[in-house]
Amino acid sequence: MSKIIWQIRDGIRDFLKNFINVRLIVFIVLQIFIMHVYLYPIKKFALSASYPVSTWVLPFLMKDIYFRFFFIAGVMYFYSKIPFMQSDQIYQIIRRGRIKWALGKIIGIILSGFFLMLLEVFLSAIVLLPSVMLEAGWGKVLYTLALTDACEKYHIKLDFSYKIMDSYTPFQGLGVLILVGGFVLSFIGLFMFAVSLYISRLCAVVAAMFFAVFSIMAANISYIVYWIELISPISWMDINVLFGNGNEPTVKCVIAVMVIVISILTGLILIKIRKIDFCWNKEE
Amino acid sequence: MKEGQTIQVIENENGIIKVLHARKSFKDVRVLNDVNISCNKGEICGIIGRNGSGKTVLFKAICGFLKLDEGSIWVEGKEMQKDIDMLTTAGIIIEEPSFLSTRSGMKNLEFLYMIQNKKNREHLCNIMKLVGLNPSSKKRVGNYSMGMKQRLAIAQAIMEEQQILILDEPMNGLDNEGVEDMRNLFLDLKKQGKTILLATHNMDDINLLCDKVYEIDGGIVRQLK
Repeated sequence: MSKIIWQIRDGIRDFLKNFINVRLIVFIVLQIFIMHVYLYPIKKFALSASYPVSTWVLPFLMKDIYFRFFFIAGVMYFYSKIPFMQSDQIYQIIRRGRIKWALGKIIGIILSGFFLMLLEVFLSAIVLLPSVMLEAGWGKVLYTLALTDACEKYHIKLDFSYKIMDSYTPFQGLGVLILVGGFVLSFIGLFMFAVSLYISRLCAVVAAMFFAVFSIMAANISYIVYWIELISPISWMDINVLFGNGNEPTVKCVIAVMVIVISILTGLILIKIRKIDFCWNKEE
Repeated sequence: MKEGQTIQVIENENGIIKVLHARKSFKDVRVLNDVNISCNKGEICGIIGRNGSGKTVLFKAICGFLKLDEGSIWVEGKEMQKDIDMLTTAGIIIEEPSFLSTRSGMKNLEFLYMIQNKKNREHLCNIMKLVGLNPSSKKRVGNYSMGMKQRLAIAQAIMEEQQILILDEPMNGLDNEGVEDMRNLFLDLKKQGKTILLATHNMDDINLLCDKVYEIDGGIVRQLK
């Protein structure tokens, strides 16, 4: 038991030491830019209505397939240190051993996934400044955008679903999005880790990019083959899919699938890490 | 001593580090070719060889970073890759020293020290002073000179007071004074009973420090001393 606690503490310590880096700063800058493109018209609308927007726009941002694509591309950039073969790891591996080092990195990837989702919530509120307000409900502005033709008038590209606002509180919406999103990002990170170990780092990036591109392709042809959109885990970050009307996988189902897939990937990584030759490269 | 006799002696020796019939290739290039070495407790064993002769590959294999194609490595009676998968009980310097570049030397040492659940700032300050670095300096490692990085690498290798040290060209980048300091430090560590495996280009290091010397060339090792 104490070994497990040590492992978790070590993973958290390693994560805290490494989470804030140049990649994170680039990710934040890119996200702020993309969010600004999407949210500026809403801000304009809020200013003209003289009423602030609530901080809960992220679930609706994530409904947009192109926004999701740019978000995932940013996450992949953040994860591009995977499989952590930078030479500054030498002194850490020799102290931890292969398995403990890999477990630490796996814990770090999972924690990063959830922290990136939380960061995304925070950034979406920052971008709306100064026309933003913290409130318990979805807020008048979002309701107005859902119920009127204001989106069209102000060239707002997001789809605000009244059905979702009516059925779920912002905390439910965001909570589920952070939970599922955290698992999806963890999956992407671990998938990249496993593919880099078994094949190559380049293949890992290409394969992860495929998921992101596939979600756009699938969304465009989903009117022909309905289920195709649901294959890509990235589509599961769409609140419409999560709170669908029965044909889509339920939140419980999505989380169960993610936990199983993450466990399998963890197993595959641990099997491979015992056998590989470590080849270091300098941080690029 | 003839080669066959050397191998026989190594197999029978009670070395704290023993490499037996080690072979390692990368694609079609054989880097280690039936390498046999043995290092006894409290000895400094030197390995000399040109660039690309296989010294670093041998050291990486001893540490557990690389798997041998054939042969075995024994450290303190445990077989690498069977009983242990990494030499977590050794202080090492492999390749060019590399640290978290945005943090100070002291912070780097604290982070590495904490991995094995240890925390003793005073001890780390003493270690930094021992290698000639200022423990209270806030200078980021990214701004360190090569010599300072090398000193920090030596500090991280010795800070846990491990009984085995595997040092791949630890004098690289050091000025004459630094080389002299480090030679004295290694001799002190030897007096404390530590076993040091040392790769170097410098014959003075070999003559002054080493009890046993192996030369590696084209992946083949022969004992010189």
